[in-house]
Amino acid sequence: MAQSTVQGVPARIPKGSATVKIFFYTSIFYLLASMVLGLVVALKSVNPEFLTSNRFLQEYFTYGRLRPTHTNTALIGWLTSVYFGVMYYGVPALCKRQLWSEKIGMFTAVLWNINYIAGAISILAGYQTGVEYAELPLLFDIVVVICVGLTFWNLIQTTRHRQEKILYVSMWYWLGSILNLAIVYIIGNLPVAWIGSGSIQMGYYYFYLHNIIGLWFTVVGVGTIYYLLPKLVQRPIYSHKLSLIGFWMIVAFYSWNGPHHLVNGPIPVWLMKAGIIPSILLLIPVWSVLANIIGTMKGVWYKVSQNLALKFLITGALFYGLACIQGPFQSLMGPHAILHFTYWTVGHAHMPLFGGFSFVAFSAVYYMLPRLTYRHIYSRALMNWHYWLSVIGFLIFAFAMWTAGIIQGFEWMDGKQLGSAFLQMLESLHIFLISRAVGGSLMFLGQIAFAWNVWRSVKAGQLVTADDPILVSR
Amino acid sequence: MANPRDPKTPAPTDTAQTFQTSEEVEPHQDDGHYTVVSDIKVAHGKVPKFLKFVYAALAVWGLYYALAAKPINDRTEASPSAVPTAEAGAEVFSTSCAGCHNPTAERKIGPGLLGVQQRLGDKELDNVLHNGRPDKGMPAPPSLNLTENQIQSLKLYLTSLKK
Repeated sequence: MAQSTVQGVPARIPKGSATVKIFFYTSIFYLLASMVLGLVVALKSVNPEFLTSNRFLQEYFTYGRLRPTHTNTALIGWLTSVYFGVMYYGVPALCKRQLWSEKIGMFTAVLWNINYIAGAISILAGYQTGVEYAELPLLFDIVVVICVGLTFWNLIQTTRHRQEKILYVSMWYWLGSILNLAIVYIIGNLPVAWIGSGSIQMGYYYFYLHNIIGLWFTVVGVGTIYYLLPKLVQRPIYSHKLSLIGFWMIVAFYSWNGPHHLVNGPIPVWLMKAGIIPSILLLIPVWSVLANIIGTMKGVWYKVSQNLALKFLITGALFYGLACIQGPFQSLMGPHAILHFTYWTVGHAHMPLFGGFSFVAFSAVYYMLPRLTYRHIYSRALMNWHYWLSVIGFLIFAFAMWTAGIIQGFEWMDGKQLGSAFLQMLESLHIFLISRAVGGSLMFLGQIAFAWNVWRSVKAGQLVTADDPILVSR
Repeated sequence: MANPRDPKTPAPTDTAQTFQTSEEVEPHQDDGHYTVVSDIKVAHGKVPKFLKFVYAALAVWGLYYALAAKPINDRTEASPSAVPTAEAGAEVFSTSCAGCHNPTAERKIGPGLLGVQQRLGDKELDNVLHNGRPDKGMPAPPSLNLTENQIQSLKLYLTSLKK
C-alpha cells in the first residue's frame, strides 16, 4: 500500500495501484497481439498462400495454431486481464479502502502474464488440447486457476475489511463472477481421460465454452456497466429492484446454456430443451439490465455525445443487448439447423466479446486510467478515432459474416454440402471473406489509436490539478 | 453510512425529485427517492409494465416449449430439394466417381459406364451402388459419405447414360 504521492496531486491521494496498471498495460498488448493473429487468419482465408513461403511459416502459421492463439489471446490475454484490472480497481474503490494486499496482487499479475505468454507459445508450438477455447495445456490451466484463486482471496479480504456497510450492485457481479470463473474453468479443463469421450465430453466442454462467456465475461461486464454508468452520467441508478432481478436471473439461467451448442446433435431431446429454454429466458436478465440503463439515462442522453467514455459504455451495452437477442434466436432448433457450422457463428461470437464487453472495457480504461496515473487522457481525437474505427470495422466484419453464414446455411440445406457444388458456393463467398479482412483491419487500426493514446497519456498526459473533479470520486 | 433502515437517511433532494416523479417510485422503507451505497446513488424506480409482461410471456412460452416441442429433422423437412434427380447425380458422379470411371465406354481405372444399367440390370446396379465391388477394389459408395438420396440421384444419372 504505497502512500507516496504523485506530483501535482494532494498528499491525501495515494498512488494508483500497481496491480491494476500491470493488468491494464499488458491487456492492451494482448489486445493488439490477438488482433494481429486474427487478421492473419482472415487474410489466410482470403488467400491461402499468405504466409506460407517457407517451412517455418508452414509449420507455425497454420490455421490450427493461429486460430486458438487468437481466441485465447483475446479471451484470456486481453479481456480477462483487463477485467482483473477493473476489479482490482473497482472493488477497493467501492470498499473505500486500498487493496488488501498489493504485494499478492502484483505477484498474481506477474504470474498471470508469465503463464499466459508461455501458454500462448505452447499453443503456437502445437502443444494444445484441441478443445475450443480451452486449448491451453493442463500445466497452464493449473496456474490460471491459482491466479484466479489468489485474486478471489485478495478481493474477498478487501471486501471483508471494507469501510462501507452495503455492497453495491457491481460487487455482487464481480465477486460472484470470479467464483464462477474458477468453477467453470476447472470443469471445462478437466483432462479428457477423466470425463470420457464423445457426446459426454462435448457436454462438459460446451458447459465451459458458453459459461466462460456467460458467467465470466458477461457478469463482470454488467458489473462494470453498473459501476461506470452512475459515475459517468452523475445520476442515480434507476431501480434497485431491476438490478436484483437481473443478477439473480443471470445466476439462475446462464449456467444451463451449454447444450444449445449441441442442438440437433447426438444428445437427448430433454437436454436440448434444457439448453434452449434457459437461453430464451435469458431475455429476462438482459432486458432488466438494459431497462435499468435506459431508466438511468432518461433525460440525459445528450451526455453520450459529450463524454467519450460514456459513448463506449452505451455502445457496449447496445451490442450486448443485440447479441442477447441474436443468441437466444439461434439457439432454437430451426434457426440452429441453418446457422450452425456457418460463418454466422464467427460474426455472432465477436458481437458480445468485441462489440459488447471490449467496448465496456475500453470505457473502463478511459475512466480509470486518469485516476491511476493522475494524468488526463492524452487525446480526445484519438478516442474518437478509436471509437469510430472500432464500430464501423466491427459492423463491416459482422454483417459480412452474418450474410455469408445465412447463404451457406440455406445452400447446404439445398444439398450443396459436398463436391463441386460445395466448392462453387465457397468460391462465391470470397467477397465476404475480403469484407471481413477489411472490417478487421479497421478494428485493428482503431486499437492502434487506443494503444497509442494510452501510451501518450501515461507519458505525456496533462497532470491533474488539486481541485480536479476526478479526485473527488474514484 | 447509508443504511436504508436508518431513519436518518437523507431526505430526497431537489435533484432526486426531478429524477423520478412520485408515480415512478415504488414505496420503499426509507421513503426516500434513493439510497447511497459507496457514494453511488441507487434509486427505487418501478419495474416497467412492458418488462412484467415479458417475464410472464416468457414463463408461459418456456412451459409450452418444455412440453410440446418436437425435434426437427432438417434433412427431410427443411430441405426443399429432397427428391433425387439425374442433375444432382451428375454432380455426385463428377466428384465421387469420375476419378476411376468415365461416363463414356472408355475404360479408366474401372470400366466406362456408358450403358451400365442396360449391361447390369436394375437390381445388380443397385447392389453395386450400395456395396461396391470388394473383389475388384471398388469401394461401397456409402463409405464415401454418399447419402441414400445421392445414391438414388446417381442411379438416375447412370440410367440416363444409354448406348
